[in-house]
Amino acid sequence: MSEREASLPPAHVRRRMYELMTLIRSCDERVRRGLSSGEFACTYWPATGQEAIAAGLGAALRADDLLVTTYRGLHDQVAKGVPLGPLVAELLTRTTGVNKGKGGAMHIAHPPSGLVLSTGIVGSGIPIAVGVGLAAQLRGSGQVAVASFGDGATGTGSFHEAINLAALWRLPVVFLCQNNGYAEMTATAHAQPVAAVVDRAAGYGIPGERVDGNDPDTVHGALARAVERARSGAGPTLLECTTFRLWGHYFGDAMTYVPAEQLEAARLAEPVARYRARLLQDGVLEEAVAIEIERQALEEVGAAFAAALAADRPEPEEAFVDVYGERSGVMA
Amino acid sequence: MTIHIRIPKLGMEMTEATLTKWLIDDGAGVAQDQALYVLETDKVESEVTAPVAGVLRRIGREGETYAVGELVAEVLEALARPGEDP
Ligand SMILES: Cc1ncc(C[n+]2csc(CCOP(=O)(O)OP(=O)(O)O)c2C)c(N)n1
Ligand SMILES: [Mg+2]
Repeated sequence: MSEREASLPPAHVRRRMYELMTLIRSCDERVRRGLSSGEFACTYWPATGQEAIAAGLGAALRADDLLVTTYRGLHDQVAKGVPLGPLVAELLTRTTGVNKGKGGAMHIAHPPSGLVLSTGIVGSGIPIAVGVGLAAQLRGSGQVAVASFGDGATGTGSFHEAINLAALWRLPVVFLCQNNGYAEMTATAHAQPVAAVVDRAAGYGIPGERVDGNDPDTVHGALARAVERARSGAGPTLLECTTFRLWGHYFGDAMTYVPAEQLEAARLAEPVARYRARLLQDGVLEEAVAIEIERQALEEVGAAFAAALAADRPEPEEAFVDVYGERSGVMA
Repeated sequence: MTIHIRIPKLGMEMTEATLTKWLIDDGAGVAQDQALYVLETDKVESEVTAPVAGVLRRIGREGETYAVGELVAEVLEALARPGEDP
């Protein structure tokens, strides 16, 4: 067995990661199809191209582990196991959504699947994940908390404070940076004084690892190490996964600020087709099995969208419901 | 199956937009995700892509302003997608 083969995840894990990537991509394509044809309208920050990171995450975490992600979160949410029907319904702001249609893409939360929440304020989810990790440590639950965020978030004060505290208290947290090269229209190199996000780990005395975020096998290996370390009480890890957002910052972004050669190279390094080819080559999947996985994903996505589009939107009065645990005495 | 192409709502406040330029000829084939036309709102230009592969029938005209949801084209789909009715 070669060194690469020896370090690969088992076949059933690799197949699972391909299933996740396929489901994420099908769902993302369906959202973009609905938006570009004017079939429906919703806010959307495509994670197209970042599926491999989510697949590694979904396969490396336990069902009861906890994840905080961002507005660019569909891939992470699907991978963490948020049920597709209520997830899609939330994207389309329907009452059947995980947040009763009041959160939208930016605020997906589904505690039963360990998706604590998604946030729209850059960097804000990182200290929240640290709080979640502290709770797990105090309860001795053995759970691990993951903060998933972008390269841009590493320039915020909350990133620094959060990692500092987690490192000091050896909290069971994994800091997962999905470095897609841009924060809105600003290239990473124009926003950070270090060569790589992972260089910052040394400042907190914690291990850092930088991997190809378009390779689910590598991401899975690095995450498994970081999760194991966190669960054993040894403290947090900073993991940087390099990738690219293939459809820009928001839906409709023409990406005029991205050099043509960079975009071309990123499209060629697209992870879903690449992983499919590799699994066929390694004998983990047969063509017929891959096609069946893709067909099932389309069917599941089709059903989720049909149900969501048939559901109602919340009434305006609903805006005041679920804001506080106990409303009486709080609001006039 | 014919897919309707309507003016998308690209921002919370957007109610109308100008179709500034067609990027595909009338009657020509388009690939899924290929840019179809340029849409301008609040001085921001976006490229609207084809939701499916097929043959384009233009309806909207360059330079015209349309309300969100107005029909500007149709794409006669090349193939039925697996798992969906044709
Ligand atoms: C505190 C804060 N500052 C600015 C913004 C505006 N903003 C929204 S997304 C974004 C870019 C974030 O980039 P990154 O962290 O790399 O995540 P990505 O969008 O690439 O996934 C910015 C600056 C914000 N939402 N919050
Ligand atoms: Mg980024």
